Amino acid sequence: MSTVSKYLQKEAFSSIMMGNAAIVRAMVESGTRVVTSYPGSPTPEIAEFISSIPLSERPFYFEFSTNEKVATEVAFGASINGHLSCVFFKSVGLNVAADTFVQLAHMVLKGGMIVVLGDDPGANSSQNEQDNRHYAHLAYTPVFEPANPQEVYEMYIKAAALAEKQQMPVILRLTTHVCHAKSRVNFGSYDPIPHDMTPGFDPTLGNYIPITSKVHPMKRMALEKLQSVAVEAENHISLIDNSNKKRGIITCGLPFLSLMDVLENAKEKPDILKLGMVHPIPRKAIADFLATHEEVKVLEELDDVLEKDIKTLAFDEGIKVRIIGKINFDDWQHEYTPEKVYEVLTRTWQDLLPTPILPAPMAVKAPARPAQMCPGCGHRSAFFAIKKALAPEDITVADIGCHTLGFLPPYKVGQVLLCMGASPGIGAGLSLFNKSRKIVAFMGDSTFFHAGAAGVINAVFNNHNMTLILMENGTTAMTGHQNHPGVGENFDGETLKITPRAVFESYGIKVREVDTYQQSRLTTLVKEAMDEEGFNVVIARHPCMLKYTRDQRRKGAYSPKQVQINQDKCDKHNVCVSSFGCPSFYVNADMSITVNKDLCIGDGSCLQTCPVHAIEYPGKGEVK
Amino acid sequence: MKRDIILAGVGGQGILSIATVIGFVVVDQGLYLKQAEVHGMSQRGGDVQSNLRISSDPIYSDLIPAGQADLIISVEPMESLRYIPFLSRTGWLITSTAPYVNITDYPENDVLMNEIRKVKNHIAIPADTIAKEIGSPRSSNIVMLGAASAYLDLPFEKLEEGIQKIFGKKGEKIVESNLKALHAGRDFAKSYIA
Repeated sequence: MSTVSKYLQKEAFSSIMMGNAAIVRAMVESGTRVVTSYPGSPTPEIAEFISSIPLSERPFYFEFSTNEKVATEVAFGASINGHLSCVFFKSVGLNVAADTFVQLAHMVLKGGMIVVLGDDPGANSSQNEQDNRHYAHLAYTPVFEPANPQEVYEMYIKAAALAEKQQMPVILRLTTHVCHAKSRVNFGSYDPIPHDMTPGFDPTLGNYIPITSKVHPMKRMALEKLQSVAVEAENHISLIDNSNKKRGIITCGLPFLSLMDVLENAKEKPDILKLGMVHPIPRKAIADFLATHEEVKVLEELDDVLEKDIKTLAFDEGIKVRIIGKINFDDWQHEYTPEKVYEVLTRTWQDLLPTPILPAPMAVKAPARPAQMCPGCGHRSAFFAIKKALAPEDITVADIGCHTLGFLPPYKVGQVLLCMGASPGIGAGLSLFNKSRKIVAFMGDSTFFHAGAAGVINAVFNNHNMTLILMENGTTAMTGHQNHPGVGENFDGETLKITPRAVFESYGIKVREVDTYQQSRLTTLVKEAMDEEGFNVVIARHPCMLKYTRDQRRKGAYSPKQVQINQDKCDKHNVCVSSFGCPSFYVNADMSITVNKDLCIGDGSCLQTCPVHAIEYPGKGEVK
Repeated sequence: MKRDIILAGVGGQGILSIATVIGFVVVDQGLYLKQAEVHGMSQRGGDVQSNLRISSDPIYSDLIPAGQADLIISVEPMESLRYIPFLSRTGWLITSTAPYVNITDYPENDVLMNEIRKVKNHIAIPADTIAKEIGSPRSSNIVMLGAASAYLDLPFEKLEEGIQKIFGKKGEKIVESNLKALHAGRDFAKSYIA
């Protein structure tokens, strides 16, 4: 029995969906032909929903590219060939893509292009909470900002229409809670549009080679297009008239939802102007709103981007109004949840909202359950072994990935971190004028392909004295096990497998490699590499055990297995907890150890860590 | 009608199944729903929570502010502690008593239970034990749903229908054991407050 994927259903329908799912229907309805990405929270589920459409029926091409910059380039290439394209990635992904991204608006994008950004206010899963609206200003690119799944769907379609019509890039800026909120979405019908598949790139359509003499006409075109879009922005506003001539609030996106919630209890509700397009701003609508209120609060998450635009507008138009933007640095930080908006509004107008009735403070607080490596994780064995090779004064450089967690106790390996693929470069700098403290940098395999290779080549090129440990788990684990070029499979199926080892060796690097479960061998190899002059690599390899056990379960090949503690042998050294740190073990009040049967996967990587061999498989030795 | 519900637990304990069953009934009843899913790293053992807002009127934010939740369903006692500040004064706390200890600073059991008992409207339920007793140890999440059922303001038989619909793919046996779990949870809650 075959059923049509709901994303391809011809008839209009409604469904409870996440923002990240609603966008897939919008891609289909709007006739998007090429979609590219690099996985990163809060957007990777978009690809999961795309994968639910069988490849043979998928009306567009999709790929996970090696990084955000390449993904943007692929979408650009498709667009100048006449195909409506879309690239999506997380907030900081735009930093990687920036070199390409800032050029887009300067070119005629024949098919149109949508850039979906998953910004992360609150830094739930990112190294900062950067506000990518700044980039939109830098790159003369319009921005739609939806607040809920319905708007994600609708605004994607609007952005697509605008991008196609103006042959330009358009940003759809999502934030974590917009991506992950679930609610009913009413979808339109899907009428597959016949598409001319002829490669339509026409180098005479505009300037595509930005040499000095062409840069200025290209920039002028970008500015003109942006200006023409400003008229369009007037069509994407909602005005909530509470007949309040004194106070008004201009807002957008998620803060609007929190605002509506918080205002439910307000005695006198301010008027609200909600913007759908936040760059360029709808000047007329805003000017009218400013002119008809005594005080206007600009309520925006993260930075003062709208605030500056709106203050400039008021100045230019000579509007006499008190505009209240950010008041203190708290206003610049965190997600604008209802509580946060309450706090921000109370700071603005002390009399606006009643004091909420909060429960009495609690005597006992629930401690955090910090993120940790999974039971059986090869990285745990790696850090346990590598730590033995390090002197206390040595410097360890972390990188992005599950292995970042090595900085936590008990390992405390990894003392500085910038961003994806930065560790060899940072390590190189730390190695200069440094004869006494050895440098060990870490990197994951997916990150190596993403942005790590240039740093590795630099270390070879300039003969830097350091050791790189490649933590190879055969997947992009942290974002949900996406394939990377070292896997041998891409989004659609089998492909050439590029092993990091082969790449390193082609650079002339001496590589040592071992499975991390061979802990003492790994310690030895790391010591050897550190003792050698120059740039050396150790590949510390073990498949991601979370992925491995899930795959086994799927195949029906999984058999639950656990280790146990031989209490007669255990002398309460507790190395399994204090140094190895597997969450499957916990210490009882009498310092004896219990194995958590829900967590232990019986991988056995812990057996070798016990100095008295008290960790055993059932059936071996006399265990109760 | 309006219900703000916080679902809490530890990764792998099945709070999303609870949300799915409630979601089915909400859609069936033509009510509005907003759910905030929290995605941690893909691993077991971390704290997870989901905000579920149900109403006969449109809902704006998917997030429940402190002091406003009508109901907390926590499949782990310490996780309920984390969200008690979100409970309204008239709200109900339905919590499992089976601790999931994977941290060294987990509070002492009596300290923890003492905090839970300070909540005027609470039901502390040994959901794991009940699930084992009825022969379906993996249904303790649905035992929790059963215990909370009286406070959802949704028809009980619709919850049964939801379970049939959602677990139907996994076979009649799984449906049966989950229905049993739902009833066992409801019965326990009745006797607890009696």
